[in-house]
Amino acid sequence: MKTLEKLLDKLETRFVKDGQHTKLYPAFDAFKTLAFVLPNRTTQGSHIRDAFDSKRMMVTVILALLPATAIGIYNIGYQRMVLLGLEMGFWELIGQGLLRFIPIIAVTYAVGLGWEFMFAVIRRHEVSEGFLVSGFLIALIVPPTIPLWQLVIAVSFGVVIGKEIFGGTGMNIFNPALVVRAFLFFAYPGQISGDVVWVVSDGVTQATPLAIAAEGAATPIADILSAQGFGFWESFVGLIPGSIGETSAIAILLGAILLLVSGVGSWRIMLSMLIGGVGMTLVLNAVAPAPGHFLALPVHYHLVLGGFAFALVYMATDPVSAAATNTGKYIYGFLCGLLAILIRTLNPVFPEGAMLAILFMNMFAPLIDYYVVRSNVKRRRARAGARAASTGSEPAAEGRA
Amino acid sequence: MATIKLKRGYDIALTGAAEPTIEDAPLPEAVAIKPPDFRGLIARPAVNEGDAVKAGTPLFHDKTFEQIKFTSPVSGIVVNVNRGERRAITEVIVRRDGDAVEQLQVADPAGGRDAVLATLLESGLFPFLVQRPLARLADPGVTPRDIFVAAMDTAPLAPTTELLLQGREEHFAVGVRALGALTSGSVHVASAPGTELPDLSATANAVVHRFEGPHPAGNVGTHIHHLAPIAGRADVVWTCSLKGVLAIGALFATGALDSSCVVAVCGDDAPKKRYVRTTIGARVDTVLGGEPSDPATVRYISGNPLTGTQITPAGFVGFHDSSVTLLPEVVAPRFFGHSLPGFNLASRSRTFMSTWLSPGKPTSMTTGLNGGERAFIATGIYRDVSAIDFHPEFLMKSIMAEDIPEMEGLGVYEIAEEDVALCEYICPSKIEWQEITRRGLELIEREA
Repeated sequence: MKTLEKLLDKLETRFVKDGQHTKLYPAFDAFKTLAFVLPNRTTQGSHIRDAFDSKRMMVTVILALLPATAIGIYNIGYQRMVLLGLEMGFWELIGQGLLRFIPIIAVTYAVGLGWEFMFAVIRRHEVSEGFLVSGFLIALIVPPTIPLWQLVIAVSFGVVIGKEIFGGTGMNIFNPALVVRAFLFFAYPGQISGDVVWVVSDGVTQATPLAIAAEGAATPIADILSAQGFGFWESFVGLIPGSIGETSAIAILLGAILLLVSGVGSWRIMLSMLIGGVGMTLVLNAVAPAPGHFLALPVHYHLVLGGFAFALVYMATDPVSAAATNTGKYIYGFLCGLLAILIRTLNPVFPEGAMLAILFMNMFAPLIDYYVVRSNVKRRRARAGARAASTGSEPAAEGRA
Repeated sequence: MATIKLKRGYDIALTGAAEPTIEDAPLPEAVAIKPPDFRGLIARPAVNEGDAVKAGTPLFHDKTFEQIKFTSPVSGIVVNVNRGERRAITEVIVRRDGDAVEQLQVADPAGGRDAVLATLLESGLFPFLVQRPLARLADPGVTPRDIFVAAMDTAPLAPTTELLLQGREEHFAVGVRALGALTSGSVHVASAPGTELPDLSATANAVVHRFEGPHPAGNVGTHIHHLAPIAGRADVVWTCSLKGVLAIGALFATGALDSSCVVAVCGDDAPKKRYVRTTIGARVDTVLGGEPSDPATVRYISGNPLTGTQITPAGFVGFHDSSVTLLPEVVAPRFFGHSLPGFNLASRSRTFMSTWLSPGKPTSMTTGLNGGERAFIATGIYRDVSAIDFHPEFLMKSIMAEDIPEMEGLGVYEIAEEDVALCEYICPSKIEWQEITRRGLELIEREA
């Protein structure tokens, strides 16, 4: 620890003003602040500051993502084993999973952080840690078979167009991870949807449950799914084909608990999105033409299939792209849930509706906030006006200055 | 008199509170009045270095409102008129010598607005009155709609009202009576439910209110918002600190300027943590007692840790301040500090174990920023600690964008720096809320 401190101090001389690499100081600073909370002093305003900072916020989200990552890695190997009819041990499965997961996350971080560092150097501000979370999210919402070159292009698009042109973390309108996902979806639909992409198996077809459910039939849909190996419990545990981190509802639930207990994730958004999704499902169930139709898919299946749970816990709660006011969060979350189920069920081209719903609501979040804030402005004005009327006192004369 | 219970807010529990005893500090060798303590003031000197002054002799006055005088708290010699940027006066230092006092014409506190106002202006106590909106030096030409007195303080390590009032009950009552003459409305006195206030029945327009809840329940901005909110730029109210009421009360009760005041000495690094009776503007060494500390490792603050002003070990207690806080400067980096459990770190966030294992337990804090400045990321938390019903981060953004109509709508007239200090404290993006607020208030002052 002391050694590292000394090493960093020694290196710092090269990056500070008049050093060899002055311009790269933000990059150096990023590493240093990742290792240490620096003894930077308050210079004005409050002399003391809460120990909580944006890095700790991001670290908490990453911790919350670990269960889904672990099951996701295992599931990559597991799906391959099931589909190819192989026999593999636990560690072999993990090994298979890591073989896929590590290149994906390495490429995502390398490209994304590369852009972040470049913008930080050009703009001369500190590197924001936002991408530590975004990068992790991206790796978890792509299929394990995603071609890495596509990832490079999509991550570049997501970071530059989705975030940096707005001014970087905190200024962006859309969730960068979802921008990446949407980019992949529309630019390379063949590699992120359809039958062949979900299992690392060299071209053997395997549909995801949502795609199966979208086909429709006369027998109850839950039975159809169970017959295909997508029973509720398989889906809940997450041993089904899908994007790397999205399949396991229980792992996502663990993450949700951490986010809620730590206060980092907004319970308002999670709760209202759940209500929105459940409500919409019940409405659709009521109007479903046949028990085997996708509209008849029961609520508990909706919650464990596809990206709904993942989107609810990790995507909708992104504080930057969600509504900022507490009242706005209820509206935002509710509409996210409602739209996610609506898109998923009524538009068979996009069985994965949650991500698109959130992107769509990202666009409306500022509008929702605008009306919440306006109503506050009006309320305060009315109170001040009522007070002036009830006491009969005229506002005092304007100052002479 | 109903108690107004506030839920939103947060109490910062700090170690280093002052012992509840009052000692007499030795008389200060020097005192100073510092123009930066008064927003909106442009000081014009009334004395030169080397001049002899009595207690009550004007040291400088305001350029805009010339009748506002700032007088010397003690008799002595003007030793320094220090100037800062653009030659603005930063302090006028008087070395104490003798005890000559200017003879003042002190009016009867019930003698009508003009007489009371003239006495306050002449004595140099008028600057205790702060105007809202804009939290600036009051304009004596305006009759304020109401006057607000916060007889409570919920800031971390703040002095307790009972001790500040001890033995000065009469001064308080007379002070409120004098303020009552200045307004066409009421003098609203706000205090915590348990505080025993002196009898104010002699002042017909004095109203006592009780506020209960976490900080900022004790801020005067909170009281104004909940009792009689400011309607706009032209809706002027005045505020007066407890220190000001006592000084004004002493003047009207005794007929002579009384520059004594009680100051709490607190903070982990304060040599003797207790209350002292000293002089307004006293040099901090006699207030603190004990050996001076190294300013490289100890921060000297006039005021509380949230809103106070940093001073040097040879600096002076601020005009409005009733405490001096000494905090350890942060020196050591914390290895991987953002990821460790954090058993003994002070935080409102539940990501720290201390919040779970020892909630509300007083913790030692340094002057560490604990992170780096970022754009706004967290949302909703700022409103959770604001006792005023507004959307603080939206107001900050409108100030950053210099959008005056938006600032007005979002409540800029209701706030001063202290009202967003808690937002600044909890801000994970380490944004300078008080600095932004100051910029916003100055912008309005200039433009509108």
